[in-house]
Amino acid sequence: MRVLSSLVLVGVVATAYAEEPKIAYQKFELANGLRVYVVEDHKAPTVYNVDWFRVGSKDEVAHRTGFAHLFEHLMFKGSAHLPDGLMDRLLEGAGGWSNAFTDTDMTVYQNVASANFLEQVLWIDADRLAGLLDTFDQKKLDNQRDVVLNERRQSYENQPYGMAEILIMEALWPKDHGYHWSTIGYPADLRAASVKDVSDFFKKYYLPNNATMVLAGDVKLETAKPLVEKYYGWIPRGPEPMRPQYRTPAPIAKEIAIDTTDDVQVPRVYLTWRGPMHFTADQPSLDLAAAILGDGKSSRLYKRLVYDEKIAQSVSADFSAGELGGMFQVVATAKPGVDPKRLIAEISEEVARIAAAAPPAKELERAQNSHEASFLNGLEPTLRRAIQLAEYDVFAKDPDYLAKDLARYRAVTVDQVKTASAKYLKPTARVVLTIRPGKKVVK
Amino acid sequence: MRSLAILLLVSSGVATAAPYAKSGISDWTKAPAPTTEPTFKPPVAKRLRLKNGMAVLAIENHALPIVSMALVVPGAGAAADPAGKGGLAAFTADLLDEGAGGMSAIEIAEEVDRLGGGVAAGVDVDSASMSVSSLTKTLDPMIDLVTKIVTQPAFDAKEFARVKGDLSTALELRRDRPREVAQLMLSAALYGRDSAYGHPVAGVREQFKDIAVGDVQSFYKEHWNPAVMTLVVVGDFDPKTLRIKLDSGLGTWKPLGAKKPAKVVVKPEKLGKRLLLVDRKDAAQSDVRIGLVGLDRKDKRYFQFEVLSSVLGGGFTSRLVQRLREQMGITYGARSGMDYRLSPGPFVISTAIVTKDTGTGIGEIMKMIDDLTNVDVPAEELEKSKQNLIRALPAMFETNAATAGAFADLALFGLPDNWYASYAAGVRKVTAKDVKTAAKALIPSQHMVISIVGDMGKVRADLDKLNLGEAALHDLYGNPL
Repeated sequence: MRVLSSLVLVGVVATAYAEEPKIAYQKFELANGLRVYVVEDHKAPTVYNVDWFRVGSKDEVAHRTGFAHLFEHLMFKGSAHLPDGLMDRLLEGAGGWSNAFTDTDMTVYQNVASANFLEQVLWIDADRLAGLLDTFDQKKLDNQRDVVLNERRQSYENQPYGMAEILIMEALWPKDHGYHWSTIGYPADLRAASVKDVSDFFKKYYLPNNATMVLAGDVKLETAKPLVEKYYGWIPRGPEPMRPQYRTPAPIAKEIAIDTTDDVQVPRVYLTWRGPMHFTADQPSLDLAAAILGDGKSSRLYKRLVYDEKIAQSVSADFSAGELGGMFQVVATAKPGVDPKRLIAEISEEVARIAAAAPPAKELERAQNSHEASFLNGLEPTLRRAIQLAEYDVFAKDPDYLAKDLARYRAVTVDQVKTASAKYLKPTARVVLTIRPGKKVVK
Repeated sequence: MRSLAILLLVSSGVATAAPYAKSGISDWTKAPAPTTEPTFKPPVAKRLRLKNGMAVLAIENHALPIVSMALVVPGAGAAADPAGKGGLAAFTADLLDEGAGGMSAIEIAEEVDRLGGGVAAGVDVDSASMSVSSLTKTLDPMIDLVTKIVTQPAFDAKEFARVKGDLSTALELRRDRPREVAQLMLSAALYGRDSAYGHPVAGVREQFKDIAVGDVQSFYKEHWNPAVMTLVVVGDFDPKTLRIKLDSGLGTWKPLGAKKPAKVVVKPEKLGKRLLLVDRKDAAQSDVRIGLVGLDRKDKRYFQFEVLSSVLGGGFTSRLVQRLREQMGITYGARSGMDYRLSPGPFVISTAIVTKDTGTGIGEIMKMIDDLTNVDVPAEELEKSKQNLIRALPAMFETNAATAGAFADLALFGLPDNWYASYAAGVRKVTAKDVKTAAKALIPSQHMVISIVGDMGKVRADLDKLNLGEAALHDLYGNPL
């Protein structure tokens, strides 16, 4: 991203850039379909390698929930020419690290090293894309299944209110929808995963033509291109993956209320609605509606529930969207002794209010400024820019999308905030989860 | 430990090998050699001093039109909490932006959002701090706002009462956060429950009700002292304009009644093995903290210790992760590190182990510690750990905020502004013998205090077999029973 540091000081933060921010890249594509972007940024002698695979938990099959993420773990357990553990020792010895994340729609791998190790990074990374299965065995699967079960314990089961996400996704999306289960999966399904599942999944999705690669940092196209061709060019293209297809689910006609308990001291409520898919017209309006309702101390819900009435310990609102749909969520933790029903009633009033009347221009402007500043600040690390570019390539199908992304948030009007809120945040079309103090219930 | 079904499958082949012959690369087994080692020069700070004594470190970076600032306030941390008022330092810092200079708490929050900025107060043991992010084009009004927050906090009685309610509730909810409880018990055992370093920064639940608005006002007056503060500014700004701005604002702030920060006296006594336990029924994992009193930040053994800790628990290839996670599969993660402070801080190993293997895991950790004190780290492993530290140095300056934090640390500890320039040389000097000597002196397993929050009904029998010293039971808040 290059931005002129012009000092145009105006009251409105948005629209004040002399030159629009962009992520400058060079691009090439291998014959096997691997799309590669090179983002030069020589401020530090470090190279970042991002591989974005178009596969996530929504692509899992029946009784194998959690598999995309479990599989992600297996990509670090060695390959044809690298015994288990060697890739991490090499990358850490090169001042870097290796990690990945899995979500409903994607699996994203990141390798980082001192820039003079570029060729070694590509050799390591290509070896697992070509030859993961050559040395794969049951022992590796068992070990990482245990690790993932521990991850589930640490991030869900042993967390206060840790089951919320799992329960909400089950209720919000029908059984035959790809967002019905959480990416972490269910223990029984994780235990059922076999070596054959690993082999099938790898062959189906881990293909050069199902990935986008970004090389960013202290790297040049003329150096990177021949090396990428050398290490990845021979890996065969595969058939376009036939993914599970999901129909648009029928709307929720009547509020779905779930009550459960956890080993906690105060109740917490989650109000969740379905929303539009990512990169659609209503996404920015709902994002900004969420900010107005529940992002920080200047938000409506904070002012009312926490600041004025002191009935909530905390409150937040958030909209997130993916390939199959979006999720608009308000979460509030009660003060001791406060009935969670009161929280639900007051949150409902505030949601109804934003759906009934356009917010004042000043309030929207604040939300827009804050959104834009935190979005741009978030792109300061080179690695984050690399991941953002991959996302634009895969989902917006436009690597130059950054300027458009900023523009679509700036363009949102007060009426659009109201209209989008009214369209999606209907009181009948929601899931309301209440977690009260009691026994921990684990699913 | 593996199930029967799994044993039967081990020998079955997976798949046909990938067609490497087609790659045209004759030897895939050999890792490609790195090219010439790049040179890296850490950022250089320009040091100024304002009229009231406040130090300013300015580091220009014009890559993006944004600026980060870190204001570090030595002596305004939890170590300065008065007896019986644990949490006063944190409460004071928290209240600064809840009304200041004629603006209400909400007005401040709205102005920060309008300007596209961010302001966060933080409190540690030895210091308080304020982190600020700003767009270049709104830097002037952001500095004005931050100046108000830091120099004219209202400490209004109504806001005080409201925030006190929020913070008290947060302390009541502490029992729901077992990791925090495990850490709190360890600190209390190492330094003494009510001591400067032994009580939790966020506050002592049983004492918080005794904090009055007058306490906050006096704490601020005594400890938010511009003469000892350092402001680090990193990013896209004009140094001349900044100087004028600070001279006419923050630099004119000369409050009366400020004290010089007091030195915390820590007697690093060898405690002998001790076991601190909380019974959390049905916990899926045991949250574990193992540690002892370690080094202060300026100790000559700093680099030896950094290499030692990197070998033991500094990354994915560290011994803790490799053994507990990649070989045994009993955790999702484990790490170790020194919490460096002005006086000797705690060395802590942290992990969460699946309930049924808690005893086994802790036994393994003790063995790994003993191994470091008895056996030289193999050359290859030592080199990997050292190179990791050296080559990862650029990451410390990846963002303006990270750079500001890195230089704020130097200022707090009284290290020279060019300290990072000699970092690689410091690491390079460390030998296997140094690591072993440091391990013997600094992390003897026979003096480790072990703190565990977990389902005692299921883990206690295994723990008792390990000879981990006298066991002391605590309640769910980490108070001794």
